[in-house]
Amino acid sequence: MHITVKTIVTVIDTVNEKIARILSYLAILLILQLCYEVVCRYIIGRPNIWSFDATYFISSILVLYGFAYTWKKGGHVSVDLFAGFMPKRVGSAIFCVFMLALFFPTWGNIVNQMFINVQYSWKILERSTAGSMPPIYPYKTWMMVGVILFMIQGVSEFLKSVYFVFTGRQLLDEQKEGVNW
Amino acid sequence: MSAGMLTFLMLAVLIAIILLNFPIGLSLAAVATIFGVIFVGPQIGATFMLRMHVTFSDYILVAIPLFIFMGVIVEKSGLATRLYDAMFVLFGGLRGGLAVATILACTVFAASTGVVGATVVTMGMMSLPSMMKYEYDKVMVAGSICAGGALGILIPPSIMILVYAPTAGVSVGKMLIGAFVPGFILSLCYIAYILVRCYVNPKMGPAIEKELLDKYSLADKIKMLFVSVVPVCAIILAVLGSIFFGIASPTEAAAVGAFAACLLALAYKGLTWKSIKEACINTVTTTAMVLCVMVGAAFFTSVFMRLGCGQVVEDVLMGLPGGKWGILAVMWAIIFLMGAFIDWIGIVMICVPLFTPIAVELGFDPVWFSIMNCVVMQTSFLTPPFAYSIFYLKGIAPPGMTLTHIYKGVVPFIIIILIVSVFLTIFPDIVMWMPNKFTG
Repeated sequence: MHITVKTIVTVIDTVNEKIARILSYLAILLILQLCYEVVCRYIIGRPNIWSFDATYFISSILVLYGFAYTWKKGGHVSVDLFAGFMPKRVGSAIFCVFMLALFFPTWGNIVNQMFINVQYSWKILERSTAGSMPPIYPYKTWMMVGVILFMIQGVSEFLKSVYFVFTGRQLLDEQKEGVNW
Repeated sequence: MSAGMLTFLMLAVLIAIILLNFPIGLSLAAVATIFGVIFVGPQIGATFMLRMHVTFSDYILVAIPLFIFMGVIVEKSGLATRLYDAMFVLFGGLRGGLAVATILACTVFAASTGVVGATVVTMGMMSLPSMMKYEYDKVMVAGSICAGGALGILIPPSIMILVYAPTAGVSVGKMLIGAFVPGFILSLCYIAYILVRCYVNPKMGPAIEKELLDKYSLADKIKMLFVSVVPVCAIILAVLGSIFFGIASPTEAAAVGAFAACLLALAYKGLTWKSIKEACINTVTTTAMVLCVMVGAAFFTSVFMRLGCGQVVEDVLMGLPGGKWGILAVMWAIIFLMGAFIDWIGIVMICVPLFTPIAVELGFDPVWFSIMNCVVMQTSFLTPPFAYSIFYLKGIAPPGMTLTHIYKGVVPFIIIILIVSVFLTIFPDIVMWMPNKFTG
């Protein structure tokens, strides 16, 4: 049991971290793309109509696919002010309840809506109404996949807390270092 | 259920969940879902999806990862060390000079980064050892590093403004330009405070030995200044100048700034593949953190407003005695108190959509009101018990410096922020003259 849970959690954490790290290089692409646009627009005097779309396409992937890893790192801010006054296992139990009662229903509902919308979008090969009017279904699809990965990270965080509630020990030897803020 | 009851319930449930240590962004999203599904219907999920698509395709918000990237590159480039060394030599001879040098280095550093953690940690690690060596007063030292670091979130480029402006529907450019002046005024007030304290009581911050400083000729000092301070200022001026004159959008300016920071780091021989890698991943995690709260808050406000709760809050605040100044004071008191418990991003996302229309109705200039709120929100980094500056400093503090020293240290600086806020309320033109010239 212990081994299975540990494997699941490790796999989720590792995969999500890899995804975030690999896609984080899009930051470089984002800078180059915008600088290229600046040169085109202000120096050559020929702006590209696709630039606006390219910018948010790149940045949406860059940021959304980091949601899961940020959570793993303990980066999503919370207020641990009163957590210090209660036993750690109680805190973890509360977290588990919140995850079941709040997190999964909230994001499950959104993914459900996204799924309906993405299907429809592919069917009509929907295009954006702004900028260069690019196809918008890929954007909607990777947004949905990003949210699903975030939910899967939620499973990992949930399992870690359940394990802690029952055993009083950390499942993984990890430090929640937070983010550089 | 009446709108008043709903408002109370929604806020109470939200506060309860947040105080039980659930991530703020997820708490906001969850409360929005509960109330949305019950009082609007399950189709509220479609609204949330739309809000998500809108947030992630917002052009202005793209400037956030870019400014974070720029900050990390500057931080890793070894610029901070040069900066502090230059300030050390220039001001070390004064009483309290090392603390003054810290504030000044923080101010310049703040102008190259949009966050606070980097400033507090880097400046703390550099200035603490020397200030401890010269037996500076620990309380004052702790306070000056925390307060100087907190300037990072006010002095542009500032992530806080990039989040604030679209939420309030105010021009980002005007806010970025306008936040400069209050930032510098605060910095000067901190320095004045330190100088006065150390002049009255030299033991708090003794001047360093003359012999140590005499090694440097005037030419050396000027050279240090040019190598360390001027290039950063040039980048910042280029970035903000292009926004100021309406040449480029903030997003484009941020990208060019990030690129220029890389060139600067290259010139300082501080640009390695490792630092770029680190900048990339830090960019992702910090932006993800900000966006998570923004998305959650977008859900929350869409439900909150739809259920008529915004009107309730407005009615309650408008009904307060004391006229427009009384209401302003109450709004700032709320921001100040919230700052003791949550960080600014939660405050911005919860308060700004509620307060901005009220302020406009009361006849306050929205740009002025927004900038002033940012000034007041500086305290959220300093007011115990929950304050990031304090946590960061504690993380790197030497054994002799306790949490009590830090708590005591920030108090005078919080008072300075409040005094400056009142001052800028009496003379709003000091804040407004730059944004009013803003052409873009």
